[in-house]
Amino acid sequence: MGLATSLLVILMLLTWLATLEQVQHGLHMTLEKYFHYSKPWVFPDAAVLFPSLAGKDKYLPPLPGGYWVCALLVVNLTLGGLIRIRKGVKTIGVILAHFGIIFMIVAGGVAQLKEERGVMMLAEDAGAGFPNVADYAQSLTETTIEITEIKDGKTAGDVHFVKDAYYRDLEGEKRRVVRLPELPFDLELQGYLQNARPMAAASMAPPNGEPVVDGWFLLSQKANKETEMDTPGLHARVLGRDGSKGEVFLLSSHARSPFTVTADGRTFVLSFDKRIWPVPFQVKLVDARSEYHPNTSRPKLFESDIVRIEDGRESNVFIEMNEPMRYGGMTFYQRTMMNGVTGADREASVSGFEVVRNPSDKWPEYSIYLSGFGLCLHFLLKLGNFLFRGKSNPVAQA
Amino acid sequence: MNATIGRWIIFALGLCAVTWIVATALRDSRPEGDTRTVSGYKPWEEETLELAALLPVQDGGRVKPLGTFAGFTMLSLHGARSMEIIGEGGEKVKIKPLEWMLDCFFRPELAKELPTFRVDNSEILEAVGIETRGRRDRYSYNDLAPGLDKMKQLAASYEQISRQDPKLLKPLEKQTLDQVYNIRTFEFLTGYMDFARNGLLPASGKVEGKILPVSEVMAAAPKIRAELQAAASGQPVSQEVQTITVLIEQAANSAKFGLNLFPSKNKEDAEWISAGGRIFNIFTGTTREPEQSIKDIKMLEDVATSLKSGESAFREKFAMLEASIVERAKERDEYRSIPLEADYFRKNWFIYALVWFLAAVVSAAVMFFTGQTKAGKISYWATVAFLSFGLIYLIIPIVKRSIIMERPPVGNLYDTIIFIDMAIVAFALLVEWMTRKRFVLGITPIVAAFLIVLARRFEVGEGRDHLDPLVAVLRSNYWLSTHVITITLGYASGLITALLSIVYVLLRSLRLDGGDTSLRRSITRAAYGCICLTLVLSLIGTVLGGIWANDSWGRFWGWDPKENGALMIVLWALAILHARIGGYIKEWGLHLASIFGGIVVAFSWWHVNFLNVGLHNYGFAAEKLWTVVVFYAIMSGFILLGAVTCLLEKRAKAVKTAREFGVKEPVEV
Repeated sequence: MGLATSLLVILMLLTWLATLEQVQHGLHMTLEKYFHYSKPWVFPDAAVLFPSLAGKDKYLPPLPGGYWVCALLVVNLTLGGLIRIRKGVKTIGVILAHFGIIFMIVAGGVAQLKEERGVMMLAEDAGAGFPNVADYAQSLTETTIEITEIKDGKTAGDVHFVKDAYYRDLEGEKRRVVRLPELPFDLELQGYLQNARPMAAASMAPPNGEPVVDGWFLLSQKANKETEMDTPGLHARVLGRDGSKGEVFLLSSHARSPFTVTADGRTFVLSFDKRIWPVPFQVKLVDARSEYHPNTSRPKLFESDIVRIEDGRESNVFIEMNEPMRYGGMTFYQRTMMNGVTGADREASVSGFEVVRNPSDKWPEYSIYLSGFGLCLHFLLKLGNFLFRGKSNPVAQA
Repeated sequence: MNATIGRWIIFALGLCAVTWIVATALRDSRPEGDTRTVSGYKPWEEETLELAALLPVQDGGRVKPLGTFAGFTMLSLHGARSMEIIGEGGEKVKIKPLEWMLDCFFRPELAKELPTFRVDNSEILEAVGIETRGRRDRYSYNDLAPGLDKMKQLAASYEQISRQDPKLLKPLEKQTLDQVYNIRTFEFLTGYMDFARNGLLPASGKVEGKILPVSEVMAAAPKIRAELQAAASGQPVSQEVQTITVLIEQAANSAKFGLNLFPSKNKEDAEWISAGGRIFNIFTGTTREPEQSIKDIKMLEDVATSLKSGESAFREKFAMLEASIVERAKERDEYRSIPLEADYFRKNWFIYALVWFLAAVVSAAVMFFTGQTKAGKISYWATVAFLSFGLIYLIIPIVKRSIIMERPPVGNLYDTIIFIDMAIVAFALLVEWMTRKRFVLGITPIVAAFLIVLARRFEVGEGRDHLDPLVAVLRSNYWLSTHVITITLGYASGLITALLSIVYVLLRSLRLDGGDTSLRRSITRAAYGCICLTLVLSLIGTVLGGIWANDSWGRFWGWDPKENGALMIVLWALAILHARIGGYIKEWGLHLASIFGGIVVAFSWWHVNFLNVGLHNYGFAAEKLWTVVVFYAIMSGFILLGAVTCLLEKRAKAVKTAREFGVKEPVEV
């Protein structure tokens, strides 16, 4: 019980500090710091309590990392709240509640490990900068290097990907060779920048001696508070099978200009962008509607009519805020609306959906039914007990 | 210390709290500064006001009575819903929102003399060379006129900075910008009927001094349009048409903002049209109801010019205009809640509730000193009755608001204050019904009265209509009635728990309980029960919020400050319950922890709004954060008082035990 209490108090402290710290460092950075499994300890920024210390790298005493506190809480709840607890009518509510909470924390863990999240932008009319039909989603934060072979001006063969796990940690001078056995070359990656944009060396000198390629270099910028706004950059070079080393080139998700590699008489194009992942069916946007409360700029509704196309079968689906489409293990949410090129005043013609693949999507809902029922049962029994005992054993008035 | 002194201390504390509440309530309802003399100001007749109150207008995304529109416009400019002046014949006149608005529309020369603008920092006026009085005062439009151009120039540059990043603006610049927005609103209102009063004065009319009503010119719109179209193919345009085009544009622009008065016949056109819009649309050929447009403008002209013939003539014309608009609003099914809303604002329910709670404070004070005597019993029942009446006077307006808004009662921060107030009183009466120990009856009415004052303060500070419709993501009656209500009840429950524990700390530290352990146990049981309730409500509310977020934003948990605050309440309640079962805390520990729970609730309910991040962001100004800090300090004070009393009692007990067993007094090392 002592451990449970301590863990709950620590978790509350972590939540409180993370709430305050996200004001300064943004949500993504704060979550990585407080609740990521790679962080067994957290050093809260002292500026959350003493604003004058902002940016001075002063820290409060460390606390255990949130991920591990939750993990320990699950173990503690399982052992103490499910296994060792006295079983009987009096404790059944508590046991149910404990089980529900464990289930919920597990759902959170599964989501953190397994969840994939992207965005699908569709236009009512193709040609407005976005497709009308798509079967893929683009990740919000993850990038990827995409390698495609070009034959006779057309793409040929499989597309090869290098996931960001291979280069996200390559800060400063760190470099890594990525072997590509199916291709006639390997890649050496280095100098990953979370938020960068290409800058002409003619307009400013590289501030930290960054490599200049064809008159351009990658200028590192402060990471955005919303990580999806960041445009990562990377330095790479081609390693030939004959041991030859190519020149360093720049990959930027800001510019998105591809780099062409010729090796073994074959031509490949390397591009760097937010990761694209497939959706097992097609989605076609029929109508996007945005409405505002009359004579105001306050949004009233955002909704889209789409057609889901799977193996040639078409289903009409309506998606609006608070009413996503759940299908095939994926959930499509109404995320944004834009006025396309052809859109009249305020009439949306581009609709953006957030696409989430999360196996534990509905688990929290089930768990709260269980916990809520368990807690209500337990406390109602207690209340009944209190009321009846109170009646049978009246105490003197003050 | 004996119980009598303790009682007097409590009485003094309660008196201080109530004095502050009453003083604040009175100050808020009374005008500030010197009473201005506006010679020639004659109050509007009551019949006129009753008539005007029900005129439907569209504002803030919904159709509301003119009275509501006037109330919130005056609140945002004037910082109060009434002003006092010395009018015609040296008589004191109290001007309410509707009167002020009618002045703006129909007697702008008088409106410009009224001390409409509340200025909290006179530096913004000094910077543009306007003569100032105190740091905080109220000014008329004419007072500000000498520095207006300069102030508008400054505001234009601040607006540019604000577009880049509002945080770059210094407080003084922000205040100047807000002031100019207020002045602009006032100019829209006072200029709205200019066209109706003055008509157009084209070149030919100048000679004879004859004005041309806009409605007449509108009737000639097709001809004018044809001439202008012909001009596009090279034909000359007459001087008359050129002048009229310029004048019409001016008239349309002056009546374009401020009042969306005319509903369209076509139900699909959700937007009501202003007088300027009516004029403009007919000349651009973009209206589907040209005849009705002309009629509407004619009616406005009749109303505006009829005032010269006296108020009864004015009323007659106004009634015609109103009847026409009401008929169209009814056809569109948009008139339904207008009378209800006008009645809601006229009745001032919350002020009555405040009076009931203050009455409950008085009877509770009598009860406090008379104990179990007959007077004590009478005052006990009086307190329960007053609290119940107060509760009813909170429930009625909350229900009315729900009917008007067609949604569950809580959708914005203002709603939470009154709802939590209601819930706290209801919970307190429930605790009293279950325990019959009277301990919540003293403190509850004070807190209830405080929350009403807080709601009024908040409303004045925001200066906007909290009945206005919600943004897209919040428009879900299912989630508003489940997640939002549950979580708000969780806040209320957390606060009543803290109140019970404060009562416990005061009783023990001031020795008011006379060592009655059954009373102590009752309070502890009640506090424990309320912690359990807080846990259930907060847990269910928080997780339901997660499920809602999962349906609208695609994630169950986003570590948004508001979500985190709710989670903290859950975690704290869980920690208290587990610590209690584990024997780590007993009576004292439970109460001190539950007072800290009040701090956690305040963090979640108010503090996170100041962080200006996240999806539940209300955009609070950081300079008001001190109010939350004061609350933390008061709660910490109670925790400290309790902790010291607990330690002293333990020490006294140890000494007593030592004496009983003949051991020497323990010596601290």
